[in-house]
Amino acid sequence: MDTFIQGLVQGLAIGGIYGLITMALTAVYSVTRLLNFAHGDLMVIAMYLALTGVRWLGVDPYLSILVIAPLMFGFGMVLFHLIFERVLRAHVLLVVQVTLGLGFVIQSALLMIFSANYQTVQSFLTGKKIVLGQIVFQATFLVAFVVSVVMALLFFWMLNRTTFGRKVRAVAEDPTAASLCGISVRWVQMIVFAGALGTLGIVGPLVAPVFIVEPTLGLHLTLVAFIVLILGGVTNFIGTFVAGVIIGLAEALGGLYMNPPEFAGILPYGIFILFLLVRPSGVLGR
Amino acid sequence: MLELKGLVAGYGGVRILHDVSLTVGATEMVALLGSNGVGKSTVMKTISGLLRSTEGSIKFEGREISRASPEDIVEAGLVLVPEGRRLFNGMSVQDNLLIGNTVRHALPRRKELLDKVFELFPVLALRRLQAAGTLSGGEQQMVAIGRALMAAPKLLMLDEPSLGLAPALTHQVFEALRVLNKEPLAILVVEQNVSIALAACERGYVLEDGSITVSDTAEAMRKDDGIRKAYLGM
Repeated sequence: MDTFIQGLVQGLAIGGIYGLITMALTAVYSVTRLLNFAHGDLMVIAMYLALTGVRWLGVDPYLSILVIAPLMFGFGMVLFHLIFERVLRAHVLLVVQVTLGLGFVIQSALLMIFSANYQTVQSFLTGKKIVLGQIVFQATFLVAFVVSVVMALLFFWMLNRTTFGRKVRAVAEDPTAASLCGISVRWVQMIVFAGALGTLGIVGPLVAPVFIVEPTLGLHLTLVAFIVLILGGVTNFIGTFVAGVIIGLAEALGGLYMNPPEFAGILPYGIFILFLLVRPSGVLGR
Repeated sequence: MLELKGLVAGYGGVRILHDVSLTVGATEMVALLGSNGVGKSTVMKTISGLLRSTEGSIKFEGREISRASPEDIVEAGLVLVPEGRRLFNGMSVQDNLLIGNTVRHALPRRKELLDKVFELFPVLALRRLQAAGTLSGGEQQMVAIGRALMAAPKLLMLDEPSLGLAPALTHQVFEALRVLNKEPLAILVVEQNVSIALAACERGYVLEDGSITVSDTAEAMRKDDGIRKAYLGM
């Protein structure tokens, strides 16, 4: 029973993070209709920044968020201006090529700088356990889960209760009508894109202590995010978070109970195919 | 206040407007008439910055705006209620109205403008939390006009406000436009319903094949045999 609960906590934590990563992807998609295949790789940059902070500067990954998140936000503005804005009106295949290409550039750069070694990022919480009666779980997972839930709630609040959120929803629904209301569509797109990268700048260091960091991790994260995106119903943000948790739980519990455990890696894809067959509109529908 | 001179515009090399010149004074209500497909909507899209003109000039309060972005044109005080209303259907009536309130000079007047819209269209106050997509056509048109008013325009442009509305609702919409015009607020309205447009406006233009062919007072146009035959079915 307690291994089940530990798996549950781990699954919830990873799933919450998946949900959050995908919400950032979904937000960008909803205002630009642009799928960013480098999304996961951009997050891995943030993880390596956290690694650098710990190794060479001795800054705890949680503390380094204060620097990495704004850095990624700024990087997002530059990237939008230099690359993404130029392909906004281009053919969808060009967008796929450009963002995939960017992903490979990032992977190769990380490989050159940090080598292909599997690395772990140590935080002051690493190895710390939280004991609740019979149940023991790692503090890093708990922190990741709590932060992802808080950030998802903040995101919903921003979207539904603030002026900027209203603008985002307007641009997502009808960019032309939004511009006739005096909204600068380009500005909203740029801030959402930068905000997505800023989110990755928080999430990256946050999960660096629970992931094994290596240069090709990004592609895996992008794939998972796309699965979660479709499972969640593409532009349904609540559905996205729920779908993220489902995939996270499938990975974690699959690892515990599948025999042989190597099959666990298939489980998210199996769930994905099942949903496509049975409920293509996503977990919550539309 | 608004002055178009020799405007030429089109889509991807296909010329729609050949030579459009018209003016709207600061307190005027002007109709732009014409049958389907002559380019009335293209004129509106070009003025509001959705479409770039290739020749000619658009001056608003003496300033050239033919190269300005749609949001800058709204900022300048020129607001379009687009054809088919283009509401944000998933959002509530109130959110739709608040979306209209994004330009700098209108932001501090949010409360006052919102009250004004609800005074003009009391039914919207009752529907304020309802999703805009669930309203009737007439109510949706009211939201669209209200959304434009939230930007505190100096000149309101409307593209086919009667589209899809029952005659009684069309009258109600034009009645509201006349009230707004008295404030005063300059209005330029594109209409296929020529009789109601000429009854409400002071002056009118007729657009045919991308060029202005008639420019006269509404009074004179109502009596003009050619216009009566072509547009009023008399």
